[in-house]
Amino acid sequence: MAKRRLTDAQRHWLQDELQSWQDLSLLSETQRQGILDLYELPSESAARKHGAAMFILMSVAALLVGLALLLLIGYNWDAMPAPVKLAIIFGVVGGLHASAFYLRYQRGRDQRGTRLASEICFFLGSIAYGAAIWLIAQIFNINAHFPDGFWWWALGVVPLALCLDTLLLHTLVVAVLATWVGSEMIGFPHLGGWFFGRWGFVPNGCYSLPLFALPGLIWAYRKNKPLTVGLYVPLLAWWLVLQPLAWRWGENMVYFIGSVGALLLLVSECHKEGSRFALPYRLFGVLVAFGVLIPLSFYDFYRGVFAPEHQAFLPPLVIFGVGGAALGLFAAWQVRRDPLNPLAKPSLLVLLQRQWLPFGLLLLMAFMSLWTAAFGDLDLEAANVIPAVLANAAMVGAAYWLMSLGLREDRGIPFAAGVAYFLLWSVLRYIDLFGDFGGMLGAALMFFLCGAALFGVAFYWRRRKELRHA
Amino acid sequence: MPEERFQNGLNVPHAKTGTESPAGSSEGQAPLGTATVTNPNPTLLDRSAGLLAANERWIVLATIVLQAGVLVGMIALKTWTVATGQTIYVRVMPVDPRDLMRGDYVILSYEFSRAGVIDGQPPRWDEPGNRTVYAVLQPEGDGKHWRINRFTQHRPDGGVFLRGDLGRGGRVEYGIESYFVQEGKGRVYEDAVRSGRLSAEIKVDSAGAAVVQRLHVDIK
Repeated sequence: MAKRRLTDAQRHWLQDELQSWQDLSLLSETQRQGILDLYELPSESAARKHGAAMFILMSVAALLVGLALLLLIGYNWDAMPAPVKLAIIFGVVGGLHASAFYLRYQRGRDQRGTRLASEICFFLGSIAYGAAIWLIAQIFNINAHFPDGFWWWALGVVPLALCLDTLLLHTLVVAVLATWVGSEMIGFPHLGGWFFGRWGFVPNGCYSLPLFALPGLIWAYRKNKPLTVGLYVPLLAWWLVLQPLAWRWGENMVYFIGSVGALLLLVSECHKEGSRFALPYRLFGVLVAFGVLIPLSFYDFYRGVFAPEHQAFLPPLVIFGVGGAALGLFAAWQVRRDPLNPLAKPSLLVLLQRQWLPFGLLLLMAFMSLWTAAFGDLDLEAANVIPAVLANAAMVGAAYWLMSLGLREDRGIPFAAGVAYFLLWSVLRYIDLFGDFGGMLGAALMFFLCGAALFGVAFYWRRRKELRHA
Repeated sequence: MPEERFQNGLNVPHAKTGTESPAGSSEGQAPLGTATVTNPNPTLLDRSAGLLAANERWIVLATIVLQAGVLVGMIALKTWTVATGQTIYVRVMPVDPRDLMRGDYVILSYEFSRAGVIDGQPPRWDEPGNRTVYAVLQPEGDGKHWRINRFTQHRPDGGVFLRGDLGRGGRVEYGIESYFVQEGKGRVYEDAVRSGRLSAEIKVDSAGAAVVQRLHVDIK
């Protein structure tokens, strides 16, 4: 069995403690020696550290030599004939992948060092493949639709990411796909969708993204990797948020963005309570949905919005439809989960307890989108007040939801985030409403009320903890 | 039991089939020496994961071959046009930006880069529909250069034509809108075009695909 590692300080502590236990007749000499034999000797520790230092030194040296070679090639690149350039490109890509393949499958897959080296080589090889696409385009003056380069890059990396069990490649896949989606949908919304040719009547919505992203997301769930889920969730959210550009709903996109955030929160609450997989959905849902509420809470915001010229009522119907379908699926799944358990809470109660805010936000975004479509062009003061009041109520509700989430799961971060969001709301309202009127007294009153509210929350939390741990 | 299947989130079986390396650089791995639990009722996902794990080496090899295939395909498409295409010369009007991703290159604009009329109608670039445009060319009087004859969205039966995509404002892109030059050399071409002395040598194949071979100043 491999000996366990110890720092020098830990070894000295252990030796002193063992000696004192032996002096108290708690341990025999044989037992003391047996415990010490579980851990590496000072000479072994020194050799390991020396080996690590050598590895670092040689890695830095290799990096510098590699950079020098890269610069040398770059300096002479324009003067090289095309066949030489191609030979270098294919040599680098092939060499990196061949080295990675050898390290992973020939050298021994159970050795941690060679496995890490193979992952790094596959990562560098995938980066070199992407660079090769653009270098070949330069050599042959290929003026193709440039986002396609990112698509082909992703196509060549996704299978490796799924097979090789490494966060590095998933990160690369997500970065490349996010760049593809952004450049395609922001830069070319006027083009039709692509499916072995451009189809002008189909919106350019990058519909192959789920085919790339969902296998990675499923893989992350199966491998129990919430961090990898945290890579794919913002990618899918990014893709959804850009859909209005493809479908020509570019006006008043803010409501659609808010509904995407609400959908993420809805999905987060579909997970089992306390599940780590809910965290990425919750984090990005909070950032997007609660972030959108901030400008929506200002009355002046609605003076600048106008009813869209085309398809004005389609976005809110889509938001309603998607939200309703998602909630229906969740409700059906809840029933399926606890069909025979008489002690389970009724499904509707569980639904309301966990989903009141996400679904409420979905309803709010759909309502605001409808409201703008109906009254946006009229610029009526009364018509602008209602959505502003609702947005403010949503902000307070969101802060309360975060705090109650923290209390329910006994986690400090959501609770603190709820408190911070409530304080943000109060400061924004003071700036928006009382900055010119209340002056110092108005500020004092507002801060007093906020402080009193937070005192109440703190006492409630302490009381709840006492009851829970009693 | 069905309940045991939903342990980590949405419909995620906790047990896995197939081989899985216990060591790795990612989070969430089982400790060394932990036995793998075999699922007695494998789902489609379980079977897919098992298939992936069992054929990992071949899938990795196939992906490497795919990467090489993409790169070779890019070269082959352009090489085919160069090998089978007809050489023509067209007058150009460049604008010179700096592209950080591809080095120094010259943007090329031609007489036929903007379609005024397509099949007798104004270009409908802001409406969904077919965006392929063919620029039918005809030779100029000097016997060297070619110029635009007409634009059409129906593929011509013969002659020299370029296939392009209709974009914003009626602009048509044929894939010959930029030419990569050595760093700092683009200025020579920019000066030449201002005085109308720059021409592009282009290879055009029978399908209308085109490749810029080189730029000429004061071509005779």
